[in-house]
Amino acid sequence: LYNRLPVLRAERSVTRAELALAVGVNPQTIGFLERGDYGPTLDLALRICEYFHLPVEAVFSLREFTPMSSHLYPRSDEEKSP
Amino acid sequence: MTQPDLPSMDGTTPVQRARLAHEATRDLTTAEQLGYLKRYKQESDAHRRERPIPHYAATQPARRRLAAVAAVPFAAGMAAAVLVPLLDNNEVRALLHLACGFASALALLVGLPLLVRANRNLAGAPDPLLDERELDERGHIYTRAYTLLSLCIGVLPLLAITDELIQQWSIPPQGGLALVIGVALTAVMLPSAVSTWCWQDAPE
Repeated sequence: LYNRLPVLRAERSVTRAELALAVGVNPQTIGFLERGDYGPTLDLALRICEYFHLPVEAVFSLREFTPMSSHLYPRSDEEKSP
Repeated sequence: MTQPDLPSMDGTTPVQRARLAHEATRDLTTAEQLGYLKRYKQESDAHRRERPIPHYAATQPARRRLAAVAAVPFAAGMAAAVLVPLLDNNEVRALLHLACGFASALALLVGLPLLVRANRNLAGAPDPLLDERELDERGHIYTRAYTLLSLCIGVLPLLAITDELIQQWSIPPQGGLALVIGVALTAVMLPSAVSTWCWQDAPE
């Protein structure tokens, strides 16, 4: 299970301890989630999504996420290609 | 009546805290004292969980060396039961029995608190203090500890059968007792030892 937690935390200047406190886990667990060493339960995943006000598919995915920059700035040769 | 404040967990020793708690609850009713002690235990457990990993368990090799302490009572029990009776000299035999007992007691009395501290009491902390990952991890730890304990206990009937088959070499009754005590002491230490062995460093 892949997630965008490091990006979302950095983007919103949220520390691991703050996120952990908000969703009711220990800060180490957030670290394990970010490192991909632990897959959260549905309950924890939903609490994290609620905290970031995002849908589940924006935070967690079964496939690796493409970088956000490639969504914002698609390569020009891709746009022009037939 | 309002409940008295709990003693501060920082900067006080357990003895000082116990004295403060005793003074604070002296004039309370039994029910109030029980309520106070319950709160005190919760606070104390939470404080114990918050302490950082000590320097002696900072690296994985160090943690694994420490976890091996749990094998000491079992090994000492085995030595007392199987090897010591082979010696002819009674005095040396008694001395070695004493040494095995001392090693087991030392492993339990010194090793167990060190193990508990090294894994932040993951094996023994109350459920409300652990989050879902830690509860999950503790489940795996108990499974592994149970498997190891089954193997240790499995040695006992195996030795009894071997002892029966090989008539020249016989385990004396006190040797059997030493073996059972060794297994029991190892059983007490196993969950904490497995937890320390499996402990992963928190991500940077």
